[in-house]
Amino acid sequence: MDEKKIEEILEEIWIERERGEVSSRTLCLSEGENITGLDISEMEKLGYFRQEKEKICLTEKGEERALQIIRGHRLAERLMTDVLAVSPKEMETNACSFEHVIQHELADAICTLLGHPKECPHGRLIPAGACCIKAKPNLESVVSPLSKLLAGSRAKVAYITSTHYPRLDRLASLGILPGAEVILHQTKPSYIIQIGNNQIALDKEILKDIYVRKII
Amino acid sequence: MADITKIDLKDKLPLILAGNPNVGKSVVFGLLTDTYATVSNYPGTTVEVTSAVSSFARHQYHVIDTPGINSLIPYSEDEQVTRDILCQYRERIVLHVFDTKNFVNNLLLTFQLIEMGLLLVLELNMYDEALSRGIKIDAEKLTKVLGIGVVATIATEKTGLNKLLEEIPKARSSPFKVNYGEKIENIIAEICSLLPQELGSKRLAALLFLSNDVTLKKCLKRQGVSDDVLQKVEITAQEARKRFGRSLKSTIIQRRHDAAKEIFNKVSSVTFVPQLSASNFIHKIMVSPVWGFPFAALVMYLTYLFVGKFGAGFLVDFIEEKIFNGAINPIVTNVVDKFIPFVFVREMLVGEYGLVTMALTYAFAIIFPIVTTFFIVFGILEDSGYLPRLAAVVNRAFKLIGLHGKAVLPFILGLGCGTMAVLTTRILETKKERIIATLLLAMVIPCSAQLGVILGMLGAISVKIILIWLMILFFILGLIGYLASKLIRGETSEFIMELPPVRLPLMSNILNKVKARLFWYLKEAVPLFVLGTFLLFILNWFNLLGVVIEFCAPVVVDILGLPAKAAEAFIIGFLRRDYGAAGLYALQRQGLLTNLQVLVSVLTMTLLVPCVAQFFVMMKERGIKIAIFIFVFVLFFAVFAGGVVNFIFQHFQLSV
Repeated sequence: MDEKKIEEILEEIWIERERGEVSSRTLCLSEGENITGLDISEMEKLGYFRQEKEKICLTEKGEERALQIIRGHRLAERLMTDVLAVSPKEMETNACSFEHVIQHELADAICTLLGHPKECPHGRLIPAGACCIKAKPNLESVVSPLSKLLAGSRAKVAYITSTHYPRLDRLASLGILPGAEVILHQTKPSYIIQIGNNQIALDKEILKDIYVRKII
Repeated sequence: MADITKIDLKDKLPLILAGNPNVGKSVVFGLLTDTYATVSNYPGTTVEVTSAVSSFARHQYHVIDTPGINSLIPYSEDEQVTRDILCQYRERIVLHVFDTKNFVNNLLLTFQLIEMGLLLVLELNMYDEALSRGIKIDAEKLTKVLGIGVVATIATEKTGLNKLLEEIPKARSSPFKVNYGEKIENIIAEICSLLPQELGSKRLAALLFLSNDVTLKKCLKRQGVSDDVLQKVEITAQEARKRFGRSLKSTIIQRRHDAAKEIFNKVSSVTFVPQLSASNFIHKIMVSPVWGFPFAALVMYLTYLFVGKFGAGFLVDFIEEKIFNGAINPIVTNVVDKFIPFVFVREMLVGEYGLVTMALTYAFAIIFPIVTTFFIVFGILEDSGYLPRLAAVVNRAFKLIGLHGKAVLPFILGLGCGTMAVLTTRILETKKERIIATLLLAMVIPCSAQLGVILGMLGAISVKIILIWLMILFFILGLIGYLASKLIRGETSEFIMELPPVRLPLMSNILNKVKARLFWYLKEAVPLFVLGTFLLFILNWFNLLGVVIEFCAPVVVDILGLPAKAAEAFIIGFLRRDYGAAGLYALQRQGLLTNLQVLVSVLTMTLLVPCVAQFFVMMKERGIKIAIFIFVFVLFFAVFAGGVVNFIFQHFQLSV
């Protein structure tokens, strides 16, 4: 069994687990990878997971390896959307190959560059690495929350992490969406940003969730 | 009050005005209807909906003005009401009013209305403002893209009105479709196939299900969709939501925005117009971290000069002395004395607490000039674009008391008329914020009727005592606000405020607003003053006033350390705010109060529950239970605070 296949299966298990419980049956049914019962029993022998009845539980070894692969994939996606501005379709195929390369130190380096993002462009959680825990907030990264910019900076919205739906609608109706250009006019006594022709005063808490790429 | 759901429609077709907030819907409403409008609360809510019957182009319409919304997913009470109104009728025409300068953002809502399968007409309102920013929209091209009637208007100048009246009867549904991408489109198709064929709003329903809108089911049920179908749809949508994760919602918004931008590029031409440098300069000062507060102080001072000195001083003196006491009251008293033989009725009309001599004199001679001057100032502040900037400047301070910058509006209004201010707390988004604002308005904000007398009393002693009074009030404002924000359960909202450009206000616009607000004052507030005075009269007639005063006197004497006569001022002050202050003023002038007693009495008076009119409005807006709770709390706290100040100053022998 080759390493790539092992990683693909572990990735599939992780994703399935995010949606709910994982069983060998759902695993075989999942799209894309051709996972057979044989693969599953082989992986179990290699010590990546145990099966309890049909339910699949990752072992410590499996957990560690799956985390690395997911982290690599999602960081690659972030890198491609935020920094390289690759089209979504291109991004997906590339991320699938990058995930096998971007691991450990390289993953941490990219993570630091991106400012320790919490979610992939699809809104799924990026597992934290050692670098995120050590991260110093004053380290400047390519993509950062709008609230961290200095007054007078121009920036382009990269993504918005808000899980607060009304806010997303409200921001959209004001034109604050990925790709929009904003100018941070001032931070005191209130944050004021300009977008298009409109000036908007708003809370710092909202700006914390709006990640931007600085335009120099 | 008319219940909007039960209006008899007969041959009248509902014409619903919809749009984002602040696009001028109510002005358009005024143009479309000339008969008397019914303002009613939407059943079960505090949201006001205006409607009127109108006929043009040989049709009769029932025109309904809805609260402004950002999306058809209801997050707030306002949005819920608008969506319900849109869902409610089988046949209806929707006039979507645009703020043309925000074309792209407004179009997001149009897409949702289109997805609902509604008969639509698009009104590009405030077209002049767009032009002044160099934005031109080609209405004909837009008609071609969307397949619906599009009219450019300037509602405040009635420009484009005739064209609009022509287009409304020709309203049609738009064939335009936003492309949400293959994956989402497949799910939409799947959900649409589950929903009944005849449902017009299938596409929107599918999208709302994907956005996890829980309130939608009720709406669909009313339109005859069975539970069985709804459950199937819900399962499909849930599955899709899981598959896409959080990105689904953002993708939908993003696709709509992309489509809107594409249309904008097709139908618009934009020329660069440099911003007026003066306007930008004034804007910078208004929101400056250094000059923002001094500027606010200057605005307050000028307001005080105009409202306090000119309105409450000069105008009140003139109208009260010359017109009412000099002419109207003697004449009415004479007439009443001559023609009405019953003492009871005579006293009720022209006695010490008479409806004419007290209630109407009060309402028209004292409050009317004050609120008029105040409304003028408020209108100028509003139209010049200063109020949203003031909100931005004070936002952080207001956060400490569980509110945000927006709340500065009711507070400023409260300095004019607390009754009006309580009504304006509606602009705050959550119930918690409204309760906190109502409480603080009832407690720490003195209205203009009181403010004049209070400043007169304190000013006669020293500037120092004014500062002490202010400091104590600010301390209480902070303390009570902070505690309330911690103790009252519920959510607070976020502060997002658009700053309109700074501009020179148009006098005609301001006068229109002042007129509308004064009309409101006559209709809503004056009857409450009459009712309050009537209560006072009844209490007095049956000698109950004396009993109440006697009952309260020990508290006033023992806790507050004031002469017993002050109790009378407090009681009457509740029914007629400036009388209370005037009563204290008279005591001071007779030399019956020491400086400390002036401070304590004025402070207690400021804190005590406002006038009876404000209390009635509190009941109407917040409900009887909360209003009474606030009343009782404020009553005890006012006495407590007055007592504490009295004790501290006496105990430590501080001078004032």
